[in-house]
Amino acid sequence: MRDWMTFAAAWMGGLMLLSLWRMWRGPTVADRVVALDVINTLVVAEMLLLAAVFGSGMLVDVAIVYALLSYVGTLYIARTLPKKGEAE
Amino acid sequence: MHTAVDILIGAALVIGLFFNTMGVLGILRFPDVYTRLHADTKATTFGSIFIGLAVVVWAIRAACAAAAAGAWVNLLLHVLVAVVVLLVTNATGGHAIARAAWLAGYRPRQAVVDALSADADAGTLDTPDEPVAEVEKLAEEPLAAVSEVEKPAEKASESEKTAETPVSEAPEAGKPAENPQMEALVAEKPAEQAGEKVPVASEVPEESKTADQLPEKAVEMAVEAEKPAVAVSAGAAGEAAAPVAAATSEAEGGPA
Repeated sequence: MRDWMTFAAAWMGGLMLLSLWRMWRGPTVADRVVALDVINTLVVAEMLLLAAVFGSGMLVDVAIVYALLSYVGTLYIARTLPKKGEAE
Repeated sequence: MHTAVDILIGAALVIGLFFNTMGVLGILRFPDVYTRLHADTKATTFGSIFIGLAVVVWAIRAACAAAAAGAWVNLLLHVLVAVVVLLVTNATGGHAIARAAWLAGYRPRQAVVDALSADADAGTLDTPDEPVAEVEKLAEEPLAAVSEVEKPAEKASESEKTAETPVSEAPEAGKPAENPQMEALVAEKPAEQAGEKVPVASEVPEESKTADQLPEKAVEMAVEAEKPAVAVSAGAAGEAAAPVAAATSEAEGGPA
Protein backbone atom coordinates (compact mmCIF):
# COMPACT_ATOMS: atom_id res chain seq x y z
CA MET A 1 0.00 0.00 0.00
CA ARG A 2 2.89 2.29 0.75
CA ASP A 3 4.20 1.58 -2.73
CA TRP A 4 0.93 2.83 -4.22
CA MET A 5 1.21 6.13 -2.41
CA THR A 6 4.85 6.45 -3.39
CA PHE A 7 3.85 5.80 -7.00
CA ALA A 8 1.09 8.41 -6.69
CA ALA A 9 3.62 10.93 -5.33
CA ALA A 10 5.96 10.24 -8.25
CA TRP A 11 3.07 10.58 -10.70
CA MET A 12 2.17 13.96 -9.23
CA GLY A 13 5.78 15.04 -9.61
CA GLY A 14 5.50 14.20 -13.30
CA LEU A 15 2.33 16.27 -13.49
CA MET A 16 4.20 19.21 -11.99
CA LEU A 17 6.85 18.91 -14.70
CA LEU A 18 4.11 18.91 -17.35
CA SER A 19 2.66 22.05 -15.79
CA LEU A 20 6.10 23.62 -15.96
CA TRP A 21 5.90 23.20 -19.73
CA ARG A 22 2.81 25.39 -19.80
CA MET A 23 4.52 27.90 -17.53
CA TRP A 24 7.49 27.98 -19.90
CA ARG A 25 5.51 28.14 -23.14
CA GLY A 26 2.34 29.92 -21.99
CA PRO A 27 1.70 32.66 -24.53
CA THR A 28 0.39 35.15 -21.98
CA VAL A 29 1.19 36.05 -18.40
CA ALA A 30 -2.23 34.81 -17.30
CA ASP A 31 -1.43 31.33 -18.66
CA ARG A 32 1.73 31.25 -16.59
CA VAL A 33 -0.23 32.25 -13.50
CA VAL A 34 -2.67 29.41 -14.17
CA ALA A 35 0.22 26.97 -14.47
CA LEU A 36 1.64 28.30 -11.20
CA ASP A 37 -1.73 27.78 -9.53
CA VAL A 38 -1.86 24.17 -10.75
CA ILE A 39 1.64 23.52 -9.46
CA ASN A 40 0.75 25.00 -6.06
CA THR A 41 -2.28 22.73 -5.75
CA LEU A 42 -0.24 19.71 -6.80
CA VAL A 43 2.49 20.55 -4.30
CA VAL A 44 -0.06 20.67 -1.47
CA ALA A 45 -1.51 17.29 -2.49
CA GLU A 46 2.01 15.90 -2.84
CA MET A 47 2.86 17.05 0.68
CA LEU A 48 -0.23 15.27 2.03
CA LEU A 49 0.83 12.08 0.25
CA LEU A 50 4.39 12.26 1.52
CA ALA A 51 3.15 12.97 5.05
CA ALA A 52 1.19 9.70 4.88
CA VAL A 53 4.14 7.82 3.42
CA PHE A 54 6.67 9.09 5.95
CA GLY A 55 4.20 9.29 8.82
CA SER A 56 5.19 12.86 9.77
CA GLY A 57 2.45 15.29 10.68
CA MET A 58 4.80 18.22 10.24
CA LEU A 59 4.52 17.96 6.46
CA VAL A 60 0.78 18.52 6.68
CA ASP A 61 1.33 21.73 8.63
CA VAL A 62 3.81 22.79 5.99
CA ALA A 63 1.17 22.00 3.34
CA ILE A 64 -1.40 24.21 5.08
CA VAL A 65 1.02 27.14 5.31
CA TYR A 66 2.11 26.57 1.71
CA ALA A 67 -1.48 26.64 0.50
CA LEU A 68 -2.18 29.93 2.28
CA LEU A 69 1.04 31.58 1.10
CA SER A 70 0.57 30.42 -2.49
CA TYR A 71 -2.94 31.87 -2.33
CA VAL A 72 -1.48 35.22 -1.29
CA GLY A 73 1.04 34.99 -4.09
CA THR A 74 -1.63 34.20 -6.66
CA LEU A 75 -3.73 37.14 -5.53
CA TYR A 76 -0.75 39.46 -5.70
CA ILE A 77 0.11 38.38 -9.23
CA ALA A 78 -3.54 38.76 -10.20
CA ARG A 79 -3.59 42.32 -8.85
CA THR A 80 -0.47 43.33 -10.72
CA LEU A 81 -1.21 41.44 -13.93
CA PRO A 82 0.13 43.57 -16.78
CA LYS A 83 -2.12 44.74 -19.57
CA LYS A 84 -2.43 42.65 -22.71
CA GLY A 85 0.49 43.33 -25.01
CA GLU A 86 2.71 44.99 -22.42
CA ALA A 87 4.59 41.89 -21.26
CA GLU A 88 4.12 38.51 -22.88
CA MET B 1 -10.65 -6.06 6.60
CA HIS B 2 -7.37 -4.75 5.39
CA THR B 3 -8.12 -5.57 1.80
CA ALA B 4 -11.34 -3.52 1.82
CA VAL B 5 -9.51 -0.51 3.27
CA ASP B 6 -6.75 -1.02 0.71
CA ILE B 7 -9.32 -0.98 -2.08
CA LEU B 8 -10.80 2.22 -0.65
CA ILE B 9 -7.40 3.91 -0.47
CA GLY B 10 -6.51 2.66 -3.93
CA ALA B 11 -9.80 3.90 -5.41
CA ALA B 12 -9.34 7.34 -3.84
CA LEU B 13 -5.77 7.50 -5.11
CA VAL B 14 -6.78 6.47 -8.63
CA ILE B 15 -9.62 9.01 -8.75
CA GLY B 16 -7.35 11.74 -7.42
CA LEU B 17 -4.57 10.96 -9.86
CA PHE B 18 -7.05 10.72 -12.73
CA PHE B 19 -8.55 14.14 -12.07
CA ASN B 20 -5.18 15.75 -11.43
CA THR B 21 -3.93 14.32 -14.71
CA MET B 22 -7.01 15.60 -16.51
CA GLY B 23 -6.46 19.04 -15.00
CA VAL B 24 -2.84 19.17 -16.14
CA LEU B 25 -3.79 17.89 -19.60
CA GLY B 26 -6.44 20.59 -19.65
CA ILE B 27 -3.99 23.41 -19.01
CA LEU B 28 -1.72 21.89 -21.64
CA ARG B 29 -4.33 21.41 -24.37
CA PHE B 30 -7.05 24.02 -23.83
CA PRO B 31 -6.87 27.05 -26.13
CA ASP B 32 -7.63 29.91 -23.78
CA VAL B 33 -6.80 31.39 -20.39
CA TYR B 34 -10.34 30.90 -19.17
CA THR B 35 -10.66 27.31 -20.31
CA ARG B 36 -7.31 26.54 -18.70
CA LEU B 37 -8.57 28.12 -15.50
CA HIS B 38 -11.59 25.85 -15.76
CA ALA B 39 -9.34 22.79 -15.90
CA ASP B 40 -7.15 24.17 -13.12
CA THR B 41 -9.70 25.11 -10.52
CA LYS B 42 -12.19 22.31 -11.05
CA ALA B 43 -10.23 19.19 -11.94
CA THR B 44 -7.15 19.82 -9.85
CA THR B 45 -9.12 20.77 -6.76
CA PHE B 46 -11.34 17.72 -7.07
CA GLY B 47 -8.34 15.44 -7.56
CA SER B 48 -6.54 16.93 -4.58
CA ILE B 49 -9.63 16.39 -2.42
CA PHE B 50 -9.50 12.69 -3.27
CA ILE B 51 -5.76 12.56 -2.60
CA GLY B 52 -6.51 14.03 0.82
CA LEU B 53 -9.29 11.48 1.28
CA ALA B 54 -6.85 8.66 0.57
CA VAL B 55 -4.47 10.09 3.15
CA VAL B 56 -7.33 10.37 5.66
CA VAL B 57 -8.28 6.71 5.19
CA TRP B 58 -4.63 5.75 5.44
CA ALA B 59 -4.32 7.68 8.71
CA ILE B 60 -7.48 6.07 10.11
CA ARG B 61 -6.17 2.60 9.39
CA ALA B 62 -2.78 3.46 10.86
CA ALA B 63 -4.43 4.93 13.96
CA CYS B 64 -6.48 1.76 14.44
CA ALA B 65 -3.45 -0.50 14.00
CA ALA B 66 -0.55 1.33 15.64
CA ALA B 67 0.01 2.05 19.29
CA ALA B 68 0.74 5.75 18.73
CA ALA B 69 -2.76 6.66 17.56
CA GLY B 70 -2.60 10.29 18.69
CA ALA B 71 -0.05 11.31 16.05
CA TRP B 72 -2.13 9.78 13.26
CA VAL B 73 -5.33 11.44 14.48
CA ASN B 74 -3.42 14.73 14.58
CA LEU B 75 -2.27 14.15 10.99
CA LEU B 76 -5.83 13.28 9.95
CA LEU B 77 -7.31 16.47 11.37
CA HIS B 78 -4.59 18.56 9.79
CA VAL B 79 -5.21 16.89 6.44
CA LEU B 80 -8.87 17.88 6.71
CA VAL B 81 -7.82 21.47 7.48
CA ALA B 82 -5.47 21.43 4.49
CA VAL B 83 -8.26 20.18 2.21
CA VAL B 84 -10.61 22.92 3.40
CA VAL B 85 -7.90 25.55 2.88
CA LEU B 86 -7.29 24.14 -0.59
CA LEU B 87 -10.99 24.37 -1.43
CA VAL B 88 -11.27 28.01 -0.38
CA THR B 89 -8.00 29.23 -1.88
CA ASN B 90 -8.39 27.48 -5.22
CA ALA B 91 -11.88 28.81 -5.81
CA THR B 92 -11.13 32.41 -4.88
CA GLY B 93 -7.69 32.36 -6.50
CA GLY B 94 -9.12 31.13 -9.78
CA HIS B 95 -11.80 33.80 -9.63
CA ALA B 96 -9.15 36.46 -9.04
CA ILE B 97 -7.05 35.24 -11.97
CA ALA B 98 -10.05 35.21 -14.31
CA ARG B 99 -11.12 38.71 -13.31
CA ALA B 100 -7.58 40.05 -13.55
CA ALA B 101 -7.15 38.46 -16.97
CA TRP B 102 -10.36 40.10 -18.19
CA LEU B 103 -9.36 43.48 -16.79
CA ALA B 104 -5.93 43.10 -18.38
CA GLY B 105 -7.59 42.91 -21.78
CA TYR B 106 -7.75 39.18 -22.49
CA ARG B 107 -11.10 38.15 -23.97
CA PRO B 108 -12.53 34.64 -24.26
CA ARG B 109 -12.49 33.43 -27.83
CA GLN B 110 -15.90 31.85 -28.12
CA ALA B 111 -17.82 33.16 -25.15
CA VAL B 112 -21.52 32.41 -24.89
CA VAL B 113 -21.87 34.55 -21.78
CA ASP B 114 -19.46 37.38 -20.99
CA ALA B 115 -20.97 39.04 -17.96
CA LEU B 116 -18.09 41.46 -17.42
CA SER B 117 -18.46 42.79 -20.97
CA ALA B 118 -22.17 43.28 -20.34
CA ASP B 119 -21.38 45.14 -17.13
CA ALA B 120 -18.81 47.27 -18.90
CA ASP B 121 -21.28 48.13 -21.66
CA ALA B 122 -23.95 48.99 -19.11
CA GLY B 123 -21.48 51.08 -17.12
CA THR B 124 -21.95 49.04 -13.96
CA LEU B 125 -18.55 47.37 -13.86
CA ASP B 126 -17.42 47.70 -10.27
CA THR B 127 -13.65 47.99 -9.96
CA PRO B 128 -13.15 49.68 -6.60
CA ASP B 129 -9.48 49.00 -6.02
CA GLU B 130 -7.72 48.09 -9.20
CA PRO B 131 -4.14 49.31 -8.80
CA VAL B 132 -3.49 49.36 -12.54
CA ALA B 133 -6.51 51.57 -13.11
CA GLU B 134 -5.46 53.88 -10.28
CA VAL B 135 -1.98 54.28 -11.71
CA GLU B 136 -3.41 55.04 -15.12
CA LYS B 137 -5.76 57.62 -13.67
CA LEU B 138 -2.89 59.30 -11.86
CA ALA B 139 -0.79 59.27 -15.00
CA GLU B 140 -3.65 60.46 -17.15
CA GLU B 141 -4.90 63.38 -15.07
CA PRO B 142 -2.66 66.18 -16.44
CA LEU B 143 -2.94 64.84 -19.98
CA ALA B 144 -6.72 64.56 -19.65
CA ALA B 145 -6.81 68.18 -18.51
CA VAL B 146 -4.97 69.23 -21.65
CA SER B 147 -7.27 67.21 -23.85
CA GLU B 148 -10.33 68.70 -22.16
CA VAL B 149 -9.07 72.15 -23.02
CA GLU B 150 -8.84 71.13 -26.63
CA LYS B 151 -12.17 69.35 -26.91
CA PRO B 152 -14.23 70.16 -23.82
CA ALA B 153 -17.60 68.90 -25.00
CA GLU B 154 -16.47 65.55 -26.37
CA LYS B 155 -13.88 64.72 -23.77
CA ALA B 156 -16.27 65.40 -20.91
CA SER B 157 -18.58 62.63 -22.00
CA GLU B 158 -15.71 60.28 -22.76
CA SER B 159 -14.03 60.82 -19.42
CA GLU B 160 -17.20 59.71 -17.67
CA LYS B 161 -17.16 56.47 -19.61
CA THR B 162 -13.50 55.85 -18.95
CA ALA B 163 -13.94 56.49 -15.26
CA GLU B 164 -16.43 53.64 -15.09
CA THR B 165 -14.70 51.27 -17.47
CA PRO B 166 -10.97 51.33 -16.85
CA VAL B 167 -10.30 48.70 -19.51
CA SER B 168 -11.45 50.98 -22.26
CA GLU B 169 -8.99 53.57 -20.99
CA ALA B 170 -6.17 51.62 -22.53
CA PRO B 171 -6.68 52.70 -26.16
CA GLU B 172 -7.61 56.22 -25.13
CA ALA B 173 -4.69 56.56 -22.78
CA GLY B 174 -2.40 56.25 -25.76
CA LYS B 175 -3.87 59.27 -27.49
CA PRO B 176 -2.78 61.98 -25.06
CA ALA B 177 0.53 60.19 -24.61
CA GLU B 178 1.24 60.72 -28.30
CA ASN B 179 0.76 64.45 -28.06
CA PRO B 180 4.17 65.25 -26.51
CA GLN B 181 5.77 63.13 -29.20
CA MET B 182 3.92 65.03 -31.88
CA GLU B 183 4.97 68.30 -30.30
CA ALA B 184 8.53 67.06 -30.20
CA LEU B 185 8.35 66.19 -33.90
CA VAL B 186 6.95 69.62 -34.68
CA ALA B 187 9.72 71.19 -32.64
CA GLU B 188 12.32 69.20 -34.56
CA LYS B 189 11.07 70.31 -37.94
CA PRO B 190 12.67 73.81 -37.87
CA ALA B 191 15.94 72.15 -36.93
CA GLU B 192 15.66 69.86 -39.92
CA GLN B 193 14.80 72.77 -42.15
CA ALA B 194 17.84 74.58 -40.88
CA GLY B 195 19.86 71.48 -41.60
CA GLU B 196 18.61 71.44 -45.18
CA LYS B 197 20.03 74.89 -45.67
CA VAL B 198 23.50 73.63 -44.85
CA PRO B 199 24.64 73.18 -48.47
CA VAL B 200 23.42 76.67 -49.20
CA ALA B 201 25.69 78.08 -46.52
CA SER B 202 28.55 75.81 -47.56
CA GLU B 203 28.63 77.42 -50.99
CA VAL B 204 30.83 79.99 -49.36
CA PRO B 205 34.38 78.77 -50.18
CA GLU B 206 35.91 79.27 -46.74
CA GLU B 207 33.31 77.25 -44.89
CA SER B 208 33.09 74.51 -47.49
CA LYS B 209 36.64 73.38 -46.60
CA THR B 210 35.73 72.94 -42.97
CA ALA B 211 32.54 71.21 -43.96
CA ASP B 212 34.53 68.68 -45.99
CA GLN B 213 37.12 68.16 -43.29
CA LEU B 214 34.72 67.78 -40.39
CA PRO B 215 31.48 66.42 -41.76
CA GLU B 216 30.02 65.70 -38.31
CA LYS B 217 30.46 69.14 -36.85
CA ALA B 218 29.81 70.85 -40.17
CA VAL B 219 26.06 70.73 -39.70
CA GLU B 220 26.22 72.38 -36.30
CA MET B 221 28.71 74.98 -37.44
CA ALA B 222 26.74 75.73 -40.57
CA VAL B 223 23.51 76.14 -38.65
CA GLU B 224 25.17 78.38 -36.11
CA ALA B 225 26.85 80.36 -38.84
CA GLU B 226 23.66 80.76 -40.80
CA LYS B 227 21.58 82.31 -38.03
CA PRO B 228 23.57 85.57 -37.70
CA ALA B 229 23.97 85.64 -41.47
CA VAL B 230 20.23 85.64 -42.01
CA ALA B 231 19.82 88.20 -39.28
CA VAL B 232 22.39 90.45 -40.87
CA SER B 233 20.86 90.05 -44.28
CA ALA B 234 17.43 90.88 -42.92
CA GLY B 235 18.74 93.87 -40.99
CA ALA B 236 21.04 95.33 -43.64
CA ALA B 237 18.83 94.68 -46.63
CA GLY B 238 20.26 96.10 -49.82
CA GLU B 239 23.69 97.03 -48.55
CA ALA B 240 25.26 93.58 -49.29
CA ALA B 241 27.48 93.77 -46.25
CA ALA B 242 29.35 90.42 -46.24
CA PRO B 243 29.79 87.74 -48.89
CA VAL B 244 28.28 85.17 -46.52
CA ALA B 245 25.17 87.24 -46.08
CA ALA B 246 24.95 87.87 -49.81
CA ALA B 247 25.19 84.17 -50.60
CA THR B 248 22.49 83.14 -48.16
CA SER B 249 20.16 85.97 -49.08
CA GLU B 250 20.45 85.22 -52.78
CA ALA B 251 19.89 81.51 -52.24
CA GLU B 252 16.78 82.11 -50.19
CA GLY B 253 15.43 84.79 -52.48
CA GLY B 254 15.18 86.87 -49.34
CA PRO B 255 14.61 90.54 -48.70
CA ALA B 256 17.74 91.55 -50.59
